[in-house]
Amino acid sequence: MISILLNKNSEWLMGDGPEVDYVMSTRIRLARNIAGYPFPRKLAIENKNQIVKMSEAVFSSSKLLSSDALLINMHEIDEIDRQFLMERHLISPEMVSLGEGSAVAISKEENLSVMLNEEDHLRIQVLKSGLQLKEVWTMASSIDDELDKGLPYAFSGRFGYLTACPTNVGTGIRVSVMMHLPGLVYSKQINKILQAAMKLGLAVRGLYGEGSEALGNLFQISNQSSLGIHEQDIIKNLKKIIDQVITHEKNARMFLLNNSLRQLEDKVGRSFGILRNARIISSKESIGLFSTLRMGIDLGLINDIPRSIINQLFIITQPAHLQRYFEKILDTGERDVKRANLIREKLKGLH
Amino acid sequence: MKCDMCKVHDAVVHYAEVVNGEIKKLNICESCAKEKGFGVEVSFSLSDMLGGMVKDSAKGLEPSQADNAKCKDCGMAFDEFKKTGRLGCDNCYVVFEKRLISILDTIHKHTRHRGKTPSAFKEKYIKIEKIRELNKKLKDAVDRENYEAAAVLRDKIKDLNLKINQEIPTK
Repeated sequence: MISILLNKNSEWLMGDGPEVDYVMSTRIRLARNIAGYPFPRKLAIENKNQIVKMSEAVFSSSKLLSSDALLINMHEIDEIDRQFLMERHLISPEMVSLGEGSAVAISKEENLSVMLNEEDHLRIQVLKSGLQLKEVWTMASSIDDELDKGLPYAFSGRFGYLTACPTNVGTGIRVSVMMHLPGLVYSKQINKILQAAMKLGLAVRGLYGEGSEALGNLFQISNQSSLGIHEQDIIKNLKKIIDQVITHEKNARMFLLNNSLRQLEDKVGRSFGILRNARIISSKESIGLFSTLRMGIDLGLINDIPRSIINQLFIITQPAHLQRYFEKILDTGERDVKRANLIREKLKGLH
Repeated sequence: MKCDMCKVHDAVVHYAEVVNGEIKKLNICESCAKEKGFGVEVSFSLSDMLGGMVKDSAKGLEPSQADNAKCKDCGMAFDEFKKTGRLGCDNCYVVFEKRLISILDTIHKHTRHRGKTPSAFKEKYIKIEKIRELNKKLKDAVDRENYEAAAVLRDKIKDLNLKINQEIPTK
C-alpha cells in the first residue's frame, strides 16, 4: 500500500503557495473524540476497532475523503512503513509505536489525513504548501463538519471539544506553520525572535513536531492555547506573528545579500558541491546542506534547481524513505551511502 | 569511535548533557540508543509537565474531588492524571471539573470554550449561552432591586432550561 505513495510527491512538497520562500507548509489539526467511549489509552481493542469501523463508514460518504483515499491499519504495516508515513507528516511520531486498533485515512493528494485512535479518537490534519492558513482552515473545518454528521462528538458547553490531554481541549485546534529561517539563523537573531514568539504564547518546534530538533533551519511555529478563543482568532493571532517573522527573515536575507554576498555564494556553492559529490552523508548533514541550497534558490543565487526537488529531498532522504526506495533494510552506515547516491542522482545535470 | 555502552558497534548517537557546569558526553550505537530511548523520540512537552501543574492539595475538597476519587465511566483516579497528564474519558471533565479549571486557566488563560460547536449541540449551546446572558441580567435586576423584571427573567430561564432537558436526554 505504501508503495503507491513512494513514487509520487505530496502536494504540500510542491514548493508553491504564498510566501514559499519563507514558509514550507501550513498545517492545522483538530482533535476530536466520540462521546460515550473512553479515550484511546483507556479503550479496549474491540472498542478501538469499533471506532475505526464507525469512522470508516462516515469517511465513505465524505466528499473530501473520497473513494480514492487510503485507509491503513497500523498493525497491517511494519514499523518502517509507519515511520515512512511519519516522515511524510501523514501520521505523528507517537503513532509510529501504535498497533492494532489504530489507523489512518489519507487523501489522494496527501493534503488531508485522519488519524484514528492516536491520543484522541480522531485527529484531523490538513497540510498545504506555503502560507495558506485560510485555505487549510476551510478544508479542516469542512471535513470536521462532514464527520460531525455521522459521529457524535464528545463536547461540553463549558469546555468545548473534549480531548485526552487538557492542553488540546476547547477548539481542539493546533495551527502550525513550518518556516525556513536561514537568514535569521546565520545573522544570529533567531533566538531573540523565537523567544519573543514563545513569550506571546506560541510553541516553537523542529521539523517533526514535539521534541524534535530544529534541523535545516526549519522551525515549526504553532499556537499553544486552544480554549476560550475562536478558531479564526487563534489563526489571526498566529498570522500576525508569522508575518512579522517573515519580515525579519526578509531583512536578514537582504542584509546578508548586501553585506556578505561573496560569503553567501561561497556557502551555497560549497553546499551544492558536497551534495553533488558526497559518497557518504548523514541525514543531519544533508538537511543542513538542503537548507543552504534552498536559501540559494530563494535568493536567486541558483536558478536551475526547482524548489520542489529540494523539498522532496528533505523527505526522501529520511531513513524509512531510503529503505523503501531501495527496497532493502539498511543500517545507519548503509543508509549514509544510499542517501549520498540518491542525492547525486536527483541533482544530476543541475547547476 | 566505538559505542560507550556495548563497546562493539560504532557510535552514531552523540549525547551531551551539562551537569554542574561540566559537559558530560555519551557516544552510543544505534541499538543501544534505541534501548535507552536516546535520540529515537526524546519528546518533552507541555503535556508532560501537566501533572506537575496540579499544585492545589485535595485537602478540604469534597470526597468526589479527592486524589483517589475515580471517574465512574472509565475508572481513572485523579492521581493517575497527575502522573500521565491525560484524562480517561469525556466524563472525567465532569467528575474532575473543579480541579481541572485551575489547570486549564494556567495553560490556556481561559476556562470557557468559544468557537465551533457540533451540529447536535448547536441548538442547545445557543440556549445555554442565552441562559448565561439572562442570568447576568437577572443578577443585575436583583442588585437594582427590580424584582418585577427579575421575575420575568427567572421565568424565561426556567423555560429555556426545560426546553434543553426535553431536547437532549442528559447523560
